[in-house]
Amino acid sequence: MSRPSSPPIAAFSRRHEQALARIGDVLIPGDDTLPSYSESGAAALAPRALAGARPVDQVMMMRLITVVGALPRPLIALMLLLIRAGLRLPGLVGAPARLLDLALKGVIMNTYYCGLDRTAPDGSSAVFQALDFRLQMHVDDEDAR
Amino acid sequence: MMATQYMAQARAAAEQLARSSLAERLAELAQLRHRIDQRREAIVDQVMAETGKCRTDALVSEIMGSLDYLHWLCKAAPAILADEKVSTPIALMGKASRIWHEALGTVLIITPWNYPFHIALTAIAPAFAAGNAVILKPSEHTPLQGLFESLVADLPGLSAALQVVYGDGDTARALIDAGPDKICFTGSAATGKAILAQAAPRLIPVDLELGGKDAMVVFDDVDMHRTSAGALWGAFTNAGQSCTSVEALYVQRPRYQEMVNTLVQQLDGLIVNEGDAGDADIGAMTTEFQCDIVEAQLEDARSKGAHIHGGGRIEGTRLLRPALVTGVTPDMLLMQQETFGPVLPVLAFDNEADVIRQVNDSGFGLSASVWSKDLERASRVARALRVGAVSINNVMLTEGNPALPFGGVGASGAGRVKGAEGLRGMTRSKAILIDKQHGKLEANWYPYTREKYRLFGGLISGLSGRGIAALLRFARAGLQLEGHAQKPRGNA
Amino acid sequence: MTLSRYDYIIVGSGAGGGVLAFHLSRAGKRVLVLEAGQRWQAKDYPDNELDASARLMWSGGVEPSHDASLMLMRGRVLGGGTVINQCLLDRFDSVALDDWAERSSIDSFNVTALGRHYDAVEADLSLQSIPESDWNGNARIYADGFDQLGYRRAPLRRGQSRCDVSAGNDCMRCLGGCPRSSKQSMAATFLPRAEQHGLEIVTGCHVHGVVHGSAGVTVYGRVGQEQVQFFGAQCVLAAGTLGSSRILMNSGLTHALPALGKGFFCHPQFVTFARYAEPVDAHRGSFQALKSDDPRFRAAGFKLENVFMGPVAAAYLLPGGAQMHQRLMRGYRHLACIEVAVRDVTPGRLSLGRNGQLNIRKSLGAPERRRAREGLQVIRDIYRVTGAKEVMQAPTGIGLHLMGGCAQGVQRDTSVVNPEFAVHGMPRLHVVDGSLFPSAPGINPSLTIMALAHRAAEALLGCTLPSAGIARGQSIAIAEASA
Repeated sequence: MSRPSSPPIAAFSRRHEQALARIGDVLIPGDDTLPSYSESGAAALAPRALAGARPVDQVMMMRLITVVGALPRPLIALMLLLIRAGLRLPGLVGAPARLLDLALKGVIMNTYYCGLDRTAPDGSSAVFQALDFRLQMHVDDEDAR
Repeated sequence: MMATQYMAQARAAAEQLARSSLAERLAELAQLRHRIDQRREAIVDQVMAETGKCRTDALVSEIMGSLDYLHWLCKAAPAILADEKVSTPIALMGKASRIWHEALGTVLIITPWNYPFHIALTAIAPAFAAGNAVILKPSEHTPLQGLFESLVADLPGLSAALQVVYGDGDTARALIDAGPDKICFTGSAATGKAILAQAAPRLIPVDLELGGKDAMVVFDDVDMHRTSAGALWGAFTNAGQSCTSVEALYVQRPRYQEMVNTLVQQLDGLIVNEGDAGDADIGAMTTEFQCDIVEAQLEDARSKGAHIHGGGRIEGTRLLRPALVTGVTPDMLLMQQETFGPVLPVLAFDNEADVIRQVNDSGFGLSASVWSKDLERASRVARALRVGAVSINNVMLTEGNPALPFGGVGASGAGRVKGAEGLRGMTRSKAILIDKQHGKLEANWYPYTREKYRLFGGLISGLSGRGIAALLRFARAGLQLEGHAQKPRGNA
Repeated sequence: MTLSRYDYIIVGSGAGGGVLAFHLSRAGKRVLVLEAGQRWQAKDYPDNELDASARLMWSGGVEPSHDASLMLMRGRVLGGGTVINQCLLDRFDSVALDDWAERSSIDSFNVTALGRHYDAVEADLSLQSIPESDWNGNARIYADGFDQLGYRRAPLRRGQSRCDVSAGNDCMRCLGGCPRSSKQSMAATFLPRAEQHGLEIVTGCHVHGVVHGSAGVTVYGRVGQEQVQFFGAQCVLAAGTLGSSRILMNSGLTHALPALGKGFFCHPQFVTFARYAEPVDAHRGSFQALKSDDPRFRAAGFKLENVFMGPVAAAYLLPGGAQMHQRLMRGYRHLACIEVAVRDVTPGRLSLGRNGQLNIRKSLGAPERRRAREGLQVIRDIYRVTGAKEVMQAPTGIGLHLMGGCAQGVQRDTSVVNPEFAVHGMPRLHVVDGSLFPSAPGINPSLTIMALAHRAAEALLGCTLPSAGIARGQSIAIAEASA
């Protein structure tokens, strides 16, 4: 008799993804080894990254991405610069900068550096290749309990 | 002590009380009210320990309801119990008429286990206010041992007037045999019938407040949020162990599914626990046998095809989770008998006539509620329902006003408690007619003569006629009769 | 229809709930553990940072303090924080415990009395000290710096059984759950042993509150979209500092418990990176091998952590704009990292917001700032003497050791939980987790939470538990029997 409801992040759309990619490219424009944020396709991972966030935070994140992502690129850069400048301000004065940093830089770094991109020529993570990063772990059946 | 000894003591107390004034008695009741207020947490603790009900139910229904009633009683009793002047007809000119409301003498109050404090108090208080001695026989399941005695200690009138006799049905039977002047019983229909039968040969009047299968009727124009919340509370307050609990929720078909969905959501959030600090919604069932009845009714409904959401008994406790029942049919026990537990059957209806028929068919007739934006329709339905009380756009709220009478129709009993009717029910009215001392004989006294017979005829014509001429005829016949009345036979 | 009534309902399955669940189940009690997170097969733990954050932690990764100067992390997974922590298991010293005894008026907070409980839980775990042969570049820089500057250091003692670092295993993966079941998390140790004794577990259960009654406690919350209630004769909150405090506050007990939510501590940590010319490969092998062991640091109220982190966390914490950022990240393998962890003394305060959200008020006072500064100076010295090319300090602090909020003590106005682990005035409701801490110890809390859980089990059962080693002995015996 009860109805299941889906989390707000389920509404994360292609438009949100494009907006996030625009912001991400300001932080990670890419270079000769690192793909740019949009090239990595990381923005598509945002719903997966935010799946564990509180519903209110999911809604806020999508709004933030929509608003900031709609700004002209120089304004996005300026905004990120201001956020960076505000990070070390003490107490509540610096709180907005740190929260915006957590929200934007948090989701961008999380989706980009998690190694889930498959953009390298061999089908592995181009980001991890650029970092020359790989973790090893041997798991045998005996461990799997 | 034997029942007869209790009764003898009650009669002696009643004689003493006859010498007290109403003001003195009400002053003691005001003191009692103050004591209840001061000791309310201790009373709540004792009520919770014996009934298992949750703390908020105990405080609001048992304590707050009782204090409200005492407040009303102390204010209203002087007017209700005062000697009444009533008009005297013109034929009895020169005389005065009075009604005196006198104590019955001894009142036996037999109370149930669902509201052991409130029901006892709201019977003791009016009985005492009216000048009666009271014997309280509380349910053996919830005796509240020593509570009332301690509350009335040192109040000279009340402590003499109130005796609490603990015991089961045998005790009640012995007390009835001892011959009280009135019995007030609240409880099951079966016990009510037995008491009435035992009282009949002794000509003891009995007030019966019995069970109900109370309906809540919801039309399609209601605010669902509020109405569903009302249904939930009406069905589950006191774990559904109220005679006026909502035991059948009738919803007009267009809103039926919405109501069911809303209730399911809310029902799952109701917190069940016993001995809480005010934060549990539903407490424990008071008796083991009532748990069994509720579970048997649910099992019966399930076996006959009903869908039950929720329900279940927490092992090792008398805690029942509330249950919502849909797909109900008339052959199910829970539509035929009082459930007296946290169970809410939801039914659909099509129109006014349909729902009135369904509700009136139940045989019970304690109370009901009608929910609609259209107050005219609500009143129309309220009048058509064969019940003792109807709350409109609220639930179980007639009991919230001590000025309103409480009592049922049909299988739900007879007689009224609370309100002016309830207080008067603790009295017998004595009619008084006062004439002056003088030498004149009444016209209707002997001797009877043909002339007087003729004049009485004229008097009656004058009384029943209209206009100034008739009045004059009446006056002339009256004067002539008076003249004749003073003459002996043969002197006409 | 009969609904279960448990002897004990334990909310939370971390260091407190896990150990307690084992001892109560083993004593024949009917025990239910409610866990907000999910149960994982060890081999299925997330293999990337994104999923580890989203699926193993509360709020999808981090929760900021009121002014976002601290980013707090806590586990939401069967096994709680023990699944995602580094499993560093150290006993508290008299510096920490004497302070507790003074604040709580509980005399049994002392090294000797707690020793028996430490012995018991240690005997049930596999503890290993990281040998020098397992050091990676980051550990060598750390050791080199300490030695050159004359500070004392010590090998780390970790709960692990068969990491096989020499075979090329990288333990940093275990921050998202150890797929080898080597790390001695509750999910790999006490919980499965408890299940052998009949423990029942419901995962994905978000507990909203409790109603304490005369004969039992009703625990209510949600499993998915469904509203649920569980009934226990006793209830133990082991949901961690934020969880247990939130549940008590949400249950309307703020007025009844004046100390509730007060005294929140989190050992604020400040990360400092350094870039070296040669690869450091701080992420390889036993990525944490050493600890500071210098009495001067202890006296000054800080310790230095030889740690590292994956690319996501490093990228988030590294300062600078796009160009600097990309340059530093390209050189990820050249990065070293040392954290200063401060023993905080300025209490924070937990409260419920209007919408039921948890507000975490935690400011860094003058003492914390001073301690952090002193520690950071040592770190810079270490980097300097070991030839770092560049030193970068993270702009925000982090908090991983969430403690206090339901302090244990004798006085009702300064504590929430009595010496027998019952909430004041509520004999059937208990708290057994890091929220009991009356102050910040300045030492990793996990082992002490386990020891307190052992002590709590004795308090609840009203008896002294059999001597140490029962959990492992039992499990081995059962394994043999089934083989």
